[in-house]
Amino acid sequence: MSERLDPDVVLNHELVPKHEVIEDEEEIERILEELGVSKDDLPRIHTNDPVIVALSEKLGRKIRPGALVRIERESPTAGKVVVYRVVTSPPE
Amino acid sequence: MVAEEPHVQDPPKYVRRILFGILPPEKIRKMSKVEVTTPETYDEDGYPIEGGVMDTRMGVIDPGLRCRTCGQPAGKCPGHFGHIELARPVLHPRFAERIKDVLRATCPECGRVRLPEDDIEEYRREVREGIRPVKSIAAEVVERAEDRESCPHCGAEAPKITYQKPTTILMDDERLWPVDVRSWLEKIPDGDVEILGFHPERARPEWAVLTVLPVPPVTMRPSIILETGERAEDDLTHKLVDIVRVNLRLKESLESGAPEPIIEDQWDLLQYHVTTYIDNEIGGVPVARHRTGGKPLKGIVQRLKGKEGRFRQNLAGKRVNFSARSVITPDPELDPFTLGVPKMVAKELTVPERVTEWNLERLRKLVLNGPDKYPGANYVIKRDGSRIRITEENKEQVAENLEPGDIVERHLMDGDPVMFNRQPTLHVQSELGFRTKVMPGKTFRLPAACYMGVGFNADFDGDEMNLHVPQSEEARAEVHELMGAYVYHLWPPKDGHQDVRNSPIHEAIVGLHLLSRAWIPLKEAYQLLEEVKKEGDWFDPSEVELEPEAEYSRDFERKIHRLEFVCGHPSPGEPLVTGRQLLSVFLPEWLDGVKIRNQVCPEDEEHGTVVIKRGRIVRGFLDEKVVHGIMGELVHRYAARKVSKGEGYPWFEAAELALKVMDKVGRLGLRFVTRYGFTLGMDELEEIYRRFREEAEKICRRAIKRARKLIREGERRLREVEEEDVCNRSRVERGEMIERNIESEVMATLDRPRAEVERLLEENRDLFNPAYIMPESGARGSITNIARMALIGGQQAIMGERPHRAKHNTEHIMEKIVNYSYTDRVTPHFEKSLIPGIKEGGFVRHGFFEGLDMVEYFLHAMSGREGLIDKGFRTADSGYLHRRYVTTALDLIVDEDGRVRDSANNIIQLAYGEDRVDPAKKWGDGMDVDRVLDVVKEVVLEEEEEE
Repeated sequence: MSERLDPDVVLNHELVPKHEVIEDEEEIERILEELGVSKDDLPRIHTNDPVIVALSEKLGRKIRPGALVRIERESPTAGKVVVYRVVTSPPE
Repeated sequence: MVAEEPHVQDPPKYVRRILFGILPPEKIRKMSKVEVTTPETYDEDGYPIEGGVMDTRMGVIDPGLRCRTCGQPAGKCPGHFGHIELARPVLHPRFAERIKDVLRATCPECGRVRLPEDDIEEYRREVREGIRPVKSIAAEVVERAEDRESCPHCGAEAPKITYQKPTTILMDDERLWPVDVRSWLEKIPDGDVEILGFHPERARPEWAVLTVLPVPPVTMRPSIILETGERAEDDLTHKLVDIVRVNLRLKESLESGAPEPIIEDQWDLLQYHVTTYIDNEIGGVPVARHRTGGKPLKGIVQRLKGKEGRFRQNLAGKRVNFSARSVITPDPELDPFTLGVPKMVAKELTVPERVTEWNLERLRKLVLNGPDKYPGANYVIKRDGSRIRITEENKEQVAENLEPGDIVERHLMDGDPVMFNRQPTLHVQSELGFRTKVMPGKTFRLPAACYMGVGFNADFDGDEMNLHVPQSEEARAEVHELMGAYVYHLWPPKDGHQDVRNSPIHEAIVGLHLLSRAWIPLKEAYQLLEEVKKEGDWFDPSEVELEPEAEYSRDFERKIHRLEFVCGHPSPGEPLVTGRQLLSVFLPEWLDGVKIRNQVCPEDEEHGTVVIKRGRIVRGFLDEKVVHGIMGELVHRYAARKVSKGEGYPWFEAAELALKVMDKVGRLGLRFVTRYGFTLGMDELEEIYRRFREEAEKICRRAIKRARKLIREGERRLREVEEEDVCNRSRVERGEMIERNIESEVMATLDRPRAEVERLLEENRDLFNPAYIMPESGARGSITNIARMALIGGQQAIMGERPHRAKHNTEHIMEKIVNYSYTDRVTPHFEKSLIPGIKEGGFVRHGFFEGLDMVEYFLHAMSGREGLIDKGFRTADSGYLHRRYVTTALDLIVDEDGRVRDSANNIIQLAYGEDRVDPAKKWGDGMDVDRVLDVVKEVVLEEEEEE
């Protein structure tokens, strides 16, 4: 890995939408229920993704695989859009 | 009689997974029906020799022969494998490199991977639990093990393994023959095999060293009989013969105890043949060629690989039945959404229709007509699935026996939904649903009045297009409902109904423009309407009542608007109507309060803005923008009214209505230009030329004078630099900079005259000159085109620069070029100079009307050629870009809940487009609220009025 990025720089970058980690099992359960999907269906995000690295640093601990990330971003078609990703460990 | 329940097809089966492996020798022998031992193929009678590569036990391809394994004739017999026992093992060329890795990672003595037991254990666990890809585990194992000097299990020293492409392996600089490789690999225990990326049951590494070669069935490599009666064998057969021959020779040498070097040569030759049999495009291996002609032979890999390989050519894409291809031509008489299909095609392409009590008689008649008389039928499929071809001889009998439950494959008939497509198929709009209209001739006819060719990007200069006939009721319904030409013609999905993207063709636009300026004798107006009417039309001119707005008188021309004119030669007292009245005939009454400013004469107080009240064009001259706008208003208002009245989904209807109106309006425009004539020729250009020549000359002279001064000044400054006696980079760079600056200034100066002439033309418009009418009404062309034709060609540019020869003051380039090229001048007709002169630099003073002189012509052609080259590159590049994009999005579908998923069922988007709106079909979401409110207000007012 190259040099560490300042978490604040990453998270506040204009191209990085708002990320929020959800680790509470019940909360995750509820969201999955609401979406009508299982965890396996959801798009993934790796633990070494710059945003996850930055968020872990902020939290002061590692974010474990299996957590959900709630991403809120601006969409040209739908205004504000909320999407979810599952945290997974990267391949290799 | 009650018809039997229609047969429902078994649901398709899904391939859950595919396992790949290496065929073990025992398995090759077990599945083999023949051992091939002789290179001979046929005997004198042309009968396949037993034990040869064409042995009839491996299947037959000649009609009349029967397979000796399964007893079936050619066509039925699927073919069976044979095998060749190799006298000495050879490496499989595709595995050689992997084998090298395995050899480097394992011990020649004990066969273990040269890693500590614990590590091996750990890697094995990772492989079995599937934690990460086996590929990356194997790579890591090899990387770690090959660096070890000695074996941690038996202590044996690691030899140095080198690999020479494609199939040579050396151990400590000595040749390691495949026999030794094989016995080494055999030693590797199953547990170690796993972590090397192989598999103990499905892919032992030693199986990659071939001892037996499978011989593919004859059916897989059929020979072709040429016209001369000769047999031409398949490439694989040729190669197999080679292998058998060399193998036999090697075997004999071994048996007779020939000297070692000879045996090794023959062994290498065997390896070569096996290698090229499998892959004939390996670098470093001489390509195996045909004995005659010298074309490279196709190996197994070549059969599968690339664009022409089995996967992309035959599996990912296939040829289809029930399709036709022909040249397209326009037909203004056709209704929108219909397609003229040649009768010839209609007789060949059929639609299956199931016989019921209710259609029995109709279908019986079709069967009775037979295959040659239109409308007829080609086949009947009985309920037991048997297919009867209808012929002149049996048609009466087949018709007699027709009963409910049978399927008749009848000819394509008027109204059948079909798909129509033009390549490149980049869009939804590139393949649309149409309704058939069978007609004489041999070309497909596209309805022209409302220009159905837009989405296809088609023109009629020889373009060909494809037709597909859906073969089930379900498919027919889908074509009609989902691929409707009308919808995609009005609303390409990309803009989400922002804009209605269609208007009549160019000729019709000119016609409509002129019509809106015309006064027409009442009689002729009715004649026009009569011409617009089609056979069996909903529109009836005799129901139309046109109120004459004026009577012709001698000084009538002086009383009307300066841009209006009178058509024909009316006699005094004859009643006249306006073209706008005539156009209003086709507009619905509810189209009210439309105001669109035109482009032709927006500044004109009376007719600069088109005003429509209660379906009547009150005033204003039409042009492309206005016609387009009216179409948009029609669609949006109609739909908005429906929505406000609570009548749900108005979208199909609105599209159909708009195109119906457009068709009529477009036809009226076409009839009008056809009747009164419109032409653009030398005379029109001459008029402009005479009128503006002097002014244009002046503009040119001014610019040339300025440019000349710039050039002289630049030349002087360049000379100064050139004469400095220092010779260094800075001097060269300074010179280049001066040159660049001068060039860009000259370019800007010389580019101006054309723009100025254009402005001149624009300011002095004569809307009675067709050369103006065409671009100004938005039909086709631009003022630039007119300026170039009539007055001035302007500055030509090649890659953004004025044409020039080799750069002069950069010495290093000069040295190379001076020997074989002109320097310092564009053509030899000019004196040498550092900066090209005005004409030399591609300034074209003349227009096409006057004609270009030789130098102008040449330089103009140069810059014209650049355009052509660019176009070629652009299409090629964008085609590839498009292919890459499409292959990534290819398998994405929207599921029942509006989520986007890929073929592995992963969710790509939780909601399609993030808002679940299909822009091609949206109505409710994202509509123009203000506009709808306006219309709703209108409707409410209307209703109140009625009360």
